[in-house]
This record gives sequence, C-alpha cells and structure tokens, in this order.
Amino acid sequence: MLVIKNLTKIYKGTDKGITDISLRVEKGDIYAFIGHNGAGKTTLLKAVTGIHGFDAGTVEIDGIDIRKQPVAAKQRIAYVPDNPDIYEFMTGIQYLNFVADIFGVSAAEREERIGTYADLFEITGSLGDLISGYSHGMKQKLVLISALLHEPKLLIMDEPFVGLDPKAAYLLKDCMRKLTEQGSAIFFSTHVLDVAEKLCNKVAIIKEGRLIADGLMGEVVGDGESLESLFMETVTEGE
Amino acid sequence: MREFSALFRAEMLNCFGKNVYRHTKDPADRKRRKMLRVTVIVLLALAAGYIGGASYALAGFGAARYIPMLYSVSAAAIVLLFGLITVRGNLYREKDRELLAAMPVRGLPIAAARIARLYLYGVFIAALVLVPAYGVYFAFERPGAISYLCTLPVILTVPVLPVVLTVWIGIAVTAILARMRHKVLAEVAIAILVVVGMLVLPVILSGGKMSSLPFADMTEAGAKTRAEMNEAMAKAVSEAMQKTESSIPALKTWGGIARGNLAGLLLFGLGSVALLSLTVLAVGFRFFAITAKLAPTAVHREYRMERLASRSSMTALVSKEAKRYFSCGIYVSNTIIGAVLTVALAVAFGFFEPAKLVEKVGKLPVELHPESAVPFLFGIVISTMSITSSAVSMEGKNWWIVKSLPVRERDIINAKLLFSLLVWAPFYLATEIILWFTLGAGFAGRQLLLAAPAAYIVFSSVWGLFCNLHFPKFRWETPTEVVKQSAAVGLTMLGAVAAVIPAAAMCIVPKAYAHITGFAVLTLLLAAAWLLHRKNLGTALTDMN
Repeated sequence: MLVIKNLTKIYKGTDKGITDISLRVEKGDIYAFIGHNGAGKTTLLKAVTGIHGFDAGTVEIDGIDIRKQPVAAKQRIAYVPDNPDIYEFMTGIQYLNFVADIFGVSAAEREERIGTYADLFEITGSLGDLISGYSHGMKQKLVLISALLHEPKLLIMDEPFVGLDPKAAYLLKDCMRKLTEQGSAIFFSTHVLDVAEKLCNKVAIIKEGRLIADGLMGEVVGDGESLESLFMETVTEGE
Repeated sequence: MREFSALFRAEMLNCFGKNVYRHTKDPADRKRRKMLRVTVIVLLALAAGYIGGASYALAGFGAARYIPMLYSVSAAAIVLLFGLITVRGNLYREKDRELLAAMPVRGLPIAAARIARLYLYGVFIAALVLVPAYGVYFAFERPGAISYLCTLPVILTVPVLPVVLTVWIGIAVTAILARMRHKVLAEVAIAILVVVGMLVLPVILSGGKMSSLPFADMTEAGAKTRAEMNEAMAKAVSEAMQKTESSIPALKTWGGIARGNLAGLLLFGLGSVALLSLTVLAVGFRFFAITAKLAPTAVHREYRMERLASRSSMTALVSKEAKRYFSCGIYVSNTIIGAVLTVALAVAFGFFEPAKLVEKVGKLPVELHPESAVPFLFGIVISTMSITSSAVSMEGKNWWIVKSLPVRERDIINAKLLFSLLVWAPFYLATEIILWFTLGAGFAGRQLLLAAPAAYIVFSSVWGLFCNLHFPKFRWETPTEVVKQSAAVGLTMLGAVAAVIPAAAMCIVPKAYAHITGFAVLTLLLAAAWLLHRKNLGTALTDMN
C-alpha cells in the first residue's frame, strides 16, 4: 500500500531532516512510527502525503508515485496532522462538506458517514458552530471524521491520540481496527508506546533522521522485552 | 514604571518585524522580510516624494503658506485612519488577554504601553507627511526662526488627537461588533464609512467652498498666454485655500502654529497632552473590565443533520476562498475600498460632469488630454488593492490542507484567481452602468472605458498572485500582518503605482491616436497578465512552506 524507497529530505540551510529512509506498509497493517522529538517523524509523514517535497527517493501509494501523479495518490490517502489547524472560519459541517466535495464523496454517502462518525465521536450537536469555537479535542475529532469520510486506502496520522479524551481515544482505536479489517492500512506516529505495542502489528523507530529499526512488532521488540525498553535502549545508544 | 517599561519594550520588540528578522534562521523567511523592508522603504520614499511634489505644486501656485495647515490635517487624518484600522488588533487584542490577566500586572501600564505604541506609530506617520511638506514650505516662504522651532513640536502633537479618537472609537466599535452576528459585514461597513466620511467631511465642513475653484472666471478673464494662465491658476488656488482655511477651525489652528504662533502651539500641545493622559488613565483603570466586555460572544445552536449536496472540487475551492475572505474584516475592508471608491468616482462623474470641467479649465499650459486617461483612472482605482496578494499567505497554518488534498496545484491557484475576479465583477458592472448614464453614449472613450478597468482587474489579480506565490508568509499571528505588512502586498502596491505610468502617458498622446494607443497599452497589459498567469500555474506549491 505504501512503499518508501531511500527517501531523503533535508531542510534548506540546515542539516535537519530525514536521510535514506525505506519502508513498506502492507494492506491491513497498523504501522507505528516512533522516535524522539525532532527525529524526523512529521517530516517523513508530510513528505509521504505530498505536503512537503523531498530531495531524493520515491514514495508510492497503492502503486502510484506521489511525485508523478500527486492527485491520484492523494485520492487514496487521508492525513491527520499533529495539530488540528483547520479552517476556523467554517462551521464543522461546512468543513466536512468541503473535504467531501474535494474527494468526490456522493451526497448520500457523506450524509450517512458524517452522521455515523459525528454521533460516534459525539460532536453532531456542534457541527453547526464555527470551528474557531471548538476545543482542541473537538477539532481533532473533526479532522478524524474528515479523514474517514472517503474511506481511505491509507490513513496517515501524526500523533492522533493527543488531545482526545479516553473515550474518543478508545473509539479511534476501534475505528483503526475496523478500517484495516476492510483492507486499508494505517501508518501513524505516536509517543504513546503502550498503545503502539498493543494496537500495531508493525513498528519503525527513527533517530536523528535515520531509520534504526523496523518490521513486525514481535520481531522488533523481541521476547520478554517491551517497546518502551527497546525504545529507550535504541534512542539513548551512543549518547 | 517598571511594569510599563517591560510592557512597552515587549510592544515595541517586534516593531516593523525587526526582532523576527534578526533571529529567524529560515533563509527564505529572511529573504521575504528583506524584500518587505526594501518595498516599504521604496513605498515610503514614493509617498514622501509625492507629498513633496504636491507641496511644490501648491507653492508654485503661490499657496506655500497654506502647506503646513493642509498637511498637518492630512497627517492627522492618516494617523486616525491607521489607528482605526489597527486599534482592535493592538489595543484591545484578544490574543494575550488571558495571559496578561494571569500576571501580576495592572491594567494602567498595559493600556499606557499600547497607547504609547499607537502614538509612536502616529509620530512616524506625521513625520513622513510633514517633513517633506515643511521642507517645501520653508524653501518658499522663509518664515521666522520660531516657525522652524515649531516643526518638531508640531510633529509630536499632530498625532495626539487622532490617537485619542482612535482609542474611544475603537472601544465603541469593538463593543458593537462583539455583540453582532455579522461582525465582518459591520466591520467592513464601518471601514467604508470612515474612508468615504474622510473624503466627504472636509467638503461638508467647508460648505462646498473647497471644490469651488473658479476655473470659469479664469477662462472668462480671457487668459490666453501661459504666463497669464499660471497667474490665474495661482490666484484661484490661493483663494480656494484661503476660503478653506477660514471654514475649518482645525486648519486655522495648524496654519497659525506653523506661522509661529507660540501661544497657540503651547495651548494646543498642553491640551493634547492632558487629553491623552486622561484617556490613558480612563482606559487603564478599567482595562481588564473593558477588554472582558469587548470579547466576542458566540451563540451555540444545537445542530441536526440536514440534507447535504455535493459540488465540484473547483466550486468547493472557490467557496472556501469566499468563506475565508468574508470571515476576515481587515482583509475585506483593506481590499474592497478601491472598488467602492471606483463606484463613488463614477457617481461623482455624474455630479461634476468632467467633460464640462475640462471645457471650463480650457486650454492647459501644455498640450494635455486628461480625458484620455479617464478609463485608465478607473482601472487604477479599482485594482489598487489586490485580493490575491494575500490569498496564499492567508492560508497560514491551514496550508497543509489544500496541499494534502487530491486537487491539482493549478486548480488551487485558479480558484484564488477566479474568486478575486468574482469579487470585482459586481463593482465593475456597477461602475460601467453608472458611467453609461453619466457620460452619455457619445463619450469618445466608451470602448476604452469598458476595456480598461476589466484589463486592470485581470492584471492586478494575476500580479498579486504572482507576488504572493513568490513571497508567501504562512507564519503569522494576526491577519493584519499578511494583509498590511507582507512583502507580497508591498510589491503588488509597487506594481499598482507603476500602473499610473500608462495613464499619465495617455494624457500626452494626441487625441487622434488616443483610442488606438489605449488599446495597444491594454493589449500589452493583458499579454503581461497571461505570461504571469502561466508562470503562476507552474509554481510548485509543495516547495512552499
């Protein structure tokens, strides 16, 4: 579903970025992407979604090169950023309608899906309000609903659990499982290692812009170890 | 005093963006800010040059003695306008209200620091207007030493009254807007009223005497030679100025001060300082109460799922542009004024009948055909403030949304351009319809009058977008930074200033060639717009951060 080969992106005027990253996310995967602050997680996710350009390497989504056919590739994905900076001048329902229009979701489908997810995340009553009046958690829920509207083949999320209340976090995990059961894939960054260990079948660890471990959760973590202890070992190595 | 000092330093820290410029590590951001500085300096130099030139023209007509009073009041009006536009974002800003309320700091130093900042900006504007104007005044009038000494006190006192008015009008306007459902519409209406009011008020106050230049008398007197013509014009300007000065008390006061009326200056200066101090005290002691009451209120209405309709992605993008535009009062009021003034200008043409005015003025000292520039004048006024010069920057933190959506980059750019054209369309149509009736079907420049504003609108929209795509500013706290203080807007304005050149050139083109020359100029303008548009469509949006 997602194939990243030798991806390199260095920010101009700095030596920060990501270097020579390769990984593969298959259908049905829930893939956790972990690393310390500033390691390059968001940079990779933004390069994969076509928000940022990159210097070298390739990114293919469902066999489509993001650089050669960006529109077709983006049609298959949904992105949830770490900070829900969305159009505050719109109401919640206007924003969802806007996203549905762009992804070409039919009127009947969007009504059904918005109704379902808004009820699930308990924000239906607020959809007529301006987003500027939403709390961080409500904005996060709205972004999640907008990401699920077109049933993406690949869901990319940057710290999706930040700002969510425990119930919403539980519902999100449930949605993630259901989405992958339907054949989609999920690639997300997180600092919540317990959730990553329990929810994900694959994991990748990034340190200073380079991938230092990736693969099946069981193989990467190993017997008798936890993801947390592995993470601490790998990121503190050489410090 | 310690509190005031710390707060004032914080207020002035990023004055003209200098602190961010000094510390930014992003080379692209640094380049943009450098470009903004250069553009602002060029625009300020042009403004100072324009004021100097206009003063020189007045002096040439023997009206140098009226320069100080005219420009003191002009400076005060500009300070007032600037203050009214920025007061809500500066003095009563919502952003750091809670942060300051949680700190052990009183309202008085906060209000004093913010009003001091408004005042200093006012002094800067007053200096920009008065220094070139007074330079010409001194060169021509050679007044006494006291007049020279009065210059600095005048620059320091001119902004006081406008700042005081700004503070109180700001409270009233913010309070009204905070309680209104359609805040932006009300904000725009107020901005338009203020600008139109500032243009109309002097005429009303003077009982219409300001506009009564006795052109007819000049021509009737039979002035034929250039020297006679100049003499008649000088007499007319002097008489008009004299009448105006005697009609408006503020003009009389400033005129007297500039001519060395020390007592007047002292009285006016002390009165201004007292008024400003009282305002600071009044606002400062109730600062938190006032700002709390000025906070906007939103009413929650329980939403129930309704029938939803689907639209094309281009319609969705244009509709998104519209929602953003009409949700931001400063964006609308800053860009719509030109279009409103164009309609007002068309109406004014109906009252003043330019053809007859040209007839009255008679033969000008040099062979000029100002009527040939009329279509271009409408084009310049309607397109001075561009919507597209901020359209990309206004995406701000939301820029990731359109970049991650499955739409072609050219569609994002086209949507911004299309929306800009849609905004200008009703103003363009209204102007053309009014001109159709006021100028009559026989007006020689009819086709040019239809084509020129349309061509200018297209060029200005494409040029604004070009500037913004090259100098985007995504990191901002308030939209004012984008709409008023960005490199793209400054550069677009420079383009608008350059657009005056073809209009001025049209005045000297012989009448027989005016039509063909006009269309040739417009064809060039549209060709340039087409080339720029192609360049815009080739911009890689993914590389813009």
